[in-house]
Amino acid sequence: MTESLHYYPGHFHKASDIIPGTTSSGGGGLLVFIKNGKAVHQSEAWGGYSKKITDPAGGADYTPTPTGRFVLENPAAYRTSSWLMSQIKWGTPIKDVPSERNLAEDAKTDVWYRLSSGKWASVSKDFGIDRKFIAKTYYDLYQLKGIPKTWIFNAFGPVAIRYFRDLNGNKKRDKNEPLDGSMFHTTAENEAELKLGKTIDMTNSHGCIHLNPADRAQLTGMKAFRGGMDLVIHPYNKKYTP
Amino acid sequence: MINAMKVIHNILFVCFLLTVTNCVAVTGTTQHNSNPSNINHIGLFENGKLIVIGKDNKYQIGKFNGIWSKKFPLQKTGLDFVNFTLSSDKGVFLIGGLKHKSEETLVYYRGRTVLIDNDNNLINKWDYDSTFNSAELFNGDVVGSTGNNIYRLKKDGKTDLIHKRNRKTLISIVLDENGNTIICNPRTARKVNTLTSKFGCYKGSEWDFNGRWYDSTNKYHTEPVRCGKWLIEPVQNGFNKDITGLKVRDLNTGKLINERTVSGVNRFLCINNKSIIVNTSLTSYSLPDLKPAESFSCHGNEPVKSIMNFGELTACLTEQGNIGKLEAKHKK
Repeated sequence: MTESLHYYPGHFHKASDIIPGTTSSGGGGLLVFIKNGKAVHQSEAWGGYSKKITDPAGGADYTPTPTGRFVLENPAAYRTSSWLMSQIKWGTPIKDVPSERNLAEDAKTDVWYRLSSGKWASVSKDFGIDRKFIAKTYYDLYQLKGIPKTWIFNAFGPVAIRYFRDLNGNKKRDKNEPLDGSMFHTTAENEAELKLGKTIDMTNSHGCIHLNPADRAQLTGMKAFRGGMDLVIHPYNKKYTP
Repeated sequence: MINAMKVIHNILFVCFLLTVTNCVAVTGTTQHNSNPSNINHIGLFENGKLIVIGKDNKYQIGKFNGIWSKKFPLQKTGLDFVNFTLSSDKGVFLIGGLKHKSEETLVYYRGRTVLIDNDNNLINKWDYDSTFNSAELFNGDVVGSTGNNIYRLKKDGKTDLIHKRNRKTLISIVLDENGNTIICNPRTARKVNTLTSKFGCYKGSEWDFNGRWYDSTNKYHTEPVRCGKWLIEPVQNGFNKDITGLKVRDLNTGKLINERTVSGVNRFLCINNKSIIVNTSLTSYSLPDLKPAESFSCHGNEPVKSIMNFGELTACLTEQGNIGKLEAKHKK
């Protein structure tokens, strides 16, 4: 049985979708899961823009999703210091600071998060994010005041599915085969939209491949996202034809 | 009657026994003449009285350097907490919320505003889905934004939903001179697509501009504010970075009138609709030219968190939780 994932980042791009002031196009791509030569799942997934765009506000560049042949690693929660809210893994338990529990809402300053050791540490001290900002973000995404029980703000969602160029074809990541900077993941915004039953508003990424959370769940159930799975990311100008 | 006499007698007796110099008894209520401290919010009444809400969630009404009521629990007003206040000739609007539901250690909140007069009477109350992050007064009505929805709180106690958010980040509200809504939203440190999202302010379909201020932690107050005929917009170079510039726009057209660089600023406030004061140096800048005008002091030289003015009186609250009169030190 042969299985592989194919991603066509420019599948839904149109000439009319050129980003003003650039020659780059945006829009959705198509992810196809093929089993024994048959497409068993197709879903929209949004990669990067077709050409690099510098963020006029000074943020990270928007780069195209790298094309080529890759091999997947197993899904795992992702953490990075590059993005403010992604410094804590999705699902990490959080709670009010016990000494602040009876204070007025806006007098509370901090939130604790649970370390892997089981001890609790300060989000404010470790990451510079105070309780007000966490509560605002929670309200922004979920329209609920207060703070959630777990960290649900990581920009990469509950798990990221990373991949690498398998230079020697052994389906294992060797020392000279680093993980690609691009990866499959959902977004905190899309996870919230799914939870609230809203329309999923997919957006182009900085180079990763944004999955609809429902598609991630379905493809995970189909065991498409598992270590060793082949992935081909096609050029932007190639459209999928069954 | 006899019981009431006993209460007054007992209070006088206790005050006498304790030889507390700042304790007097009037109509059964213990009062104090030292200014309260550890304050989170202030509101100013037309007659110069203040309402102060402490970090302990209790409030007092009184005059600066004058007589203060005893502390009342905030729950007496029907609120669990206050976010900010607005002053009007009818009283002070306490804008906050109340606990909606609890789950284990987590508590969720709904929005509530109450109008209270300087005799501690509750005059009106409004409930809505969530707490306001910004609000202004127009013709005696509070118009406020929850970040997602904008409501008008009408004098009959009803609320009108007048706008729903259509931008990526939470919205705040400013009203122009005719009560039209100007909607603003900040940039975000979250990993969202900034190319397809709008961050700035707009007034209906009349005008909009891109802004460069960020959603922030409690250290910064970065929403644009109205000051007289002007809209004051901060400039930041990133999340949790100091405000590096101030821009003055015409409130009716959104047109940029003036801008200047500033440093070490994390909050700016409007004084008497005529000038802007920055919280750290307590320097004011006249509008719309943004020229340095005066230096102020509030409880020594503590950084100012909020100011309220009514006529000639301008009360201030410092970030340390002390109250004072905002007073000009000298002309620049």
